[in-house]
Amino acid sequence: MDHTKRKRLDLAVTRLQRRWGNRVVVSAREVQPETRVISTRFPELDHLLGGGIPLNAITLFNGQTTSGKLTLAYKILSSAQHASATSRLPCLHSVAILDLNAASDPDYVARCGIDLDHLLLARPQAGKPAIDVLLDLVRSRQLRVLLLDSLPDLRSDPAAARYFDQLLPQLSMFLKSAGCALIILDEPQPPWLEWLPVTRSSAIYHYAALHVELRRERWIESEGELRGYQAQARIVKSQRGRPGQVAPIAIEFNETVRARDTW
Amino acid sequence: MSVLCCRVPDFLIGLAERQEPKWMGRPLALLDANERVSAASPEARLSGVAVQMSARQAQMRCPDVLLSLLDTAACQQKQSAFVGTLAECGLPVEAQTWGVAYVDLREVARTGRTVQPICAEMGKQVRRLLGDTLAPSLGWDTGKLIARAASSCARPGHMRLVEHSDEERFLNPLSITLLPLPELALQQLTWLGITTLGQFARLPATAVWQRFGQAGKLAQQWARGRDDRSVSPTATMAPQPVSVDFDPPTALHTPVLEAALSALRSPLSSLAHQLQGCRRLRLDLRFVEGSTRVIDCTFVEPVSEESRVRATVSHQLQILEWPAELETLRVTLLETGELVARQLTLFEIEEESSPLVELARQLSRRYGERFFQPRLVDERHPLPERRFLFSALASCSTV
Repeated sequence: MDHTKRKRLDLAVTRLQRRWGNRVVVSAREVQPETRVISTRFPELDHLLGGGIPLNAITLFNGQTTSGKLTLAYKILSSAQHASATSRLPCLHSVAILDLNAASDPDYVARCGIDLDHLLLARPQAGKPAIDVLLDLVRSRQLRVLLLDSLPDLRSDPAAARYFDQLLPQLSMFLKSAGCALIILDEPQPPWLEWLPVTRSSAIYHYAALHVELRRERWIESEGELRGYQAQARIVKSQRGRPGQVAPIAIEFNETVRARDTW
Repeated sequence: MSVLCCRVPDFLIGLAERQEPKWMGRPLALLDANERVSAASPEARLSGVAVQMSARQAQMRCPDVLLSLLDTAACQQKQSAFVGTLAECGLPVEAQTWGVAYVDLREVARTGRTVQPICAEMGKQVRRLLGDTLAPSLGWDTGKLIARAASSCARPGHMRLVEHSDEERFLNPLSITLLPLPELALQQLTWLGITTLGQFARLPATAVWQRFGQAGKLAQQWARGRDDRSVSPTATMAPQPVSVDFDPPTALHTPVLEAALSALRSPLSSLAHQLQGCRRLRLDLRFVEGSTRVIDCTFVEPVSEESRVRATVSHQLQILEWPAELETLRVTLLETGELVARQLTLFEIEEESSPLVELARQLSRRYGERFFQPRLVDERHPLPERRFLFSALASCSTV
């Protein structure tokens, strides 16, 4: 840009700023891109996911008991509380846990780094009331992340499962407008279910923007003491990462639950 | 001084809901004899219904509001039982308003350690009398105002004891609306940016006296923690009765009303300066043909505002059947009492106004008390499950 054009542009910008305020026109370099992802606190997994789990969408964590899905979800809640859209503001975001099996341990929640003053724990009745609470929490626009623990409890009866499947498109729409991420914990289908004439709905896999499968690999011991475990996160579906990629995650639970990406 | 304040939140509403359980959780307003709102449930208050509104105003603010007449006799009976239970221990008890009473503990306990078991026992007795749904909240301090503030801060079924050394720290952040000042004075203070008792206490005393008069000066002393009012079991001595003779006798409503108000203006004003109001009022009317009529006006709460007295007296004069022209009117203030802070409920709501609590409160109305927040109770307890406690975030009864 030649000198004259630059001068005229500066003059125009100055005029606009005088009339409408300093922030009316800013250089593109000054604009911070709004965070559309939430870090998992596991750098290797973040790298595969393109920065973290997507905001405004459904994320599904699937795995057996002690595969690390709950810890991973708690670490994301902690990360979401402290991640501020404008990094200069130190305010904490609120998160919620829909604790359907009433088994949340506040001690473990606190040790995962979640600020308890900004945590709402909802324990509704399983089935339809729980789905209504889920929708109302999302629609409230007060929460940054909502954790549903867990999907099998929510779909405890066929009527509730059908109701949930019907509401999934609506739920996705609400999440987009509310700026809220929904994390759903699921368990793999038990083998004996194959022998029953029951089919599990696959609608959730369609509407989830991210689907990660977790599997425990080995326990971590040190000096004869159990220190934690190493798990493997395999991306099944992702809009940013390539499906099939695997990231090892190590979880140490001593005084505070720590996340380690390398071993 | 050692004063205990025993307060049953939403006493009138609780009694009404006990009689009609289907009203629980719904917006409810109780009307007095003049069809003005005398008590509103927390749900109705959230929709903007306030005490002294007309029934129509309440319906406009909250179309779903249930309106019911206050059963004064039943409530009075429960109130007497409530005060009687507190008086069982032989200490002086003063009833402030419905479900609020002060107990003078000066003779038996003066420190938090000695007061605690007495308070716990009294709380248990009141709960036994009124049931779990009307659990009292207790507050203790050396003065009436701080004791009442402490009881407002305590949740139902809990007590809050404020030691003398902590008074200033406790009072400073509390809202100015805790003081029973007239609404105009509260508005003026808010416009001046004075919103807490600490800010009000720091104002120069002379400036407060010039602007808000004797009542303001007294309120500032209370805000500074200097509240030396004693707990008196009997009603305060009321001023002498005033007689007005009509010559010629009149059958018109307006001159009688104006005469009654002019007789009441001076005593009401002097009561207002002491932050007190009229609780019971008697009008003796003597007619030319020799017959007499007596009108007893009982206010739900002590009042000092002329407009409220005018509305009540006017209503009573209109519904009275006049046998002849009126010859003499005699006005007597039968009972006076401490003014009630008009916006005490607002103060309570402001205490916990985080968005998360507000969200839980809204959802609780639909889904019940199923929303919690873990709170650290004992950081060093060896058992992890005992270190934390799940506290319900939104109990509508405590607002």
